[in-house]
Amino acid sequence: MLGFGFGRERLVAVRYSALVLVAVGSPEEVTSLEVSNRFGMTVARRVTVTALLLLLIGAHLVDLVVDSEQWPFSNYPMYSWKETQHFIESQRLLGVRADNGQEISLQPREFTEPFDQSRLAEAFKQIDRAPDAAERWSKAMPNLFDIYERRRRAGQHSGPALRGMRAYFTRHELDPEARNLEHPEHRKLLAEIMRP
Amino acid sequence: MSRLRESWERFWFEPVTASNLGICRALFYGLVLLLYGFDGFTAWGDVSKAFWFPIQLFEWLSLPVPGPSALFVVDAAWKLSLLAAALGLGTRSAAVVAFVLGIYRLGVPQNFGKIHHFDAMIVLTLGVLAFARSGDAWSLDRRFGWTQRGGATAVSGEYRWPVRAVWLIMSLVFFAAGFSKLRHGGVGWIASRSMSLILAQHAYEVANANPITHIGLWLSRYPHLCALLALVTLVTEAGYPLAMFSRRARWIFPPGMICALIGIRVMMGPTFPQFVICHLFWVPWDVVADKLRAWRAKGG
Repeated sequence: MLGFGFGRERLVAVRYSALVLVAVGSPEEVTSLEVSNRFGMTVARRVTVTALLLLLIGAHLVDLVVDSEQWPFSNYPMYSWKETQHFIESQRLLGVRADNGQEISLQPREFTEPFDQSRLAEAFKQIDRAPDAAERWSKAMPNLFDIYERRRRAGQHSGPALRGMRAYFTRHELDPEARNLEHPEHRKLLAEIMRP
Repeated sequence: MSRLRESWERFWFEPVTASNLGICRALFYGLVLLLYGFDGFTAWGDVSKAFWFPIQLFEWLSLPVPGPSALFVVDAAWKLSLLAAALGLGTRSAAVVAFVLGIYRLGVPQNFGKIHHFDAMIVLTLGVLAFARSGDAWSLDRRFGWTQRGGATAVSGEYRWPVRAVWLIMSLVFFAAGFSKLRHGGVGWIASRSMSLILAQHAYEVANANPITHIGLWLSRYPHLCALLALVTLVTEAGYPLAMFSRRARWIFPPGMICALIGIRVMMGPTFPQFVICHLFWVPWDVVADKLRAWRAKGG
């Protein structure tokens, strides 16, 4: 359907006549339906491609002007705000070891697959803001725990056995050496799951 | 108006041989297949709906996320289509399947809390190639005589516009990133300690991957160097579309952007291999192939 043979040009041109009007201009300019040997493409095909290109440009410009994001189009706002804070706030998942009850970081992605740290943190933020936050937390934490343990037992990661998980909101004051990475100045428990 | 139309058509449809597009196709699909070959997509089928915050596309089309077995089938079909398109086997059909399944396959993770921007460029490029006649050279279709088009000397605008459409996608993406910085941060995004703070913050494991080195943290102690880095970043992003129209700019902005993407990975963590892969469309592969052939003919 996308490949237009030269013999079908007239039929195709009629089918795309509306697009021709939109993409090329006044009706006088589109009365010629012949194949342009110069480009090796039918007029209809060139008009279709032009429409595709204008769609690409238009969709990107809409997101840029409206400052919105309609995936796969976007205004690409990452890192675009002027940063003034000498701290970093995030949401983190910690594990509670089964053997000694110690909290450990679950930062390597293998522990939280298919989530990476940034997606998991944003998901926690969204759950916390959701009107049904309590219900979501009650399902989210057991789900993360079950995935971790199932993958551990299958030998898909090297983490220790856990008896629980805790999701925290954390704030780190920026240190020149990031020495406080494991010890945020402020943290607040968002949700937890503990298994006997 | 007619001069504008003439310029437009010359820019997009000036006839070229099928060779460059054919090589771009083979490399692009092959590298995408390598990149997503083992990324654990099916695991999204196990994730609770408590994490489900659908993007508009999935909401409008009411696209569900089934269990891991069904996702495995989708994933396998997508990868087969990528392989077929890379080899140029049933290229037109494979490219359409790769695009349609790619929207779903790459879109699913975006519904779980955060949109990662790097996948979108792949989806849009798959879209362009789904409309293109990229299998007329460097393909099994050509070798087996399943396509009559695109002989060694045949030229057509069909082989030019897809490559330039991918340039357009990259230009729009990077210009948008630069424009957003000017809109939200203004000149202060460069002239303040903003970049220094961004680099320091990324030492705290907040990105999708951790920085490869501590260079970012070290650099954050030198605000003037960081401001210079911010300026170079902004110029590279906002000036990127110039590469579409100027051969000279083509030697500056795309290589500069690849360096910036590698720099981001090294100093801050975020991974953008998808953006790097799309840069292959800037290389005139037909010229490279001709030079290689000439070199081998000389007995090099």
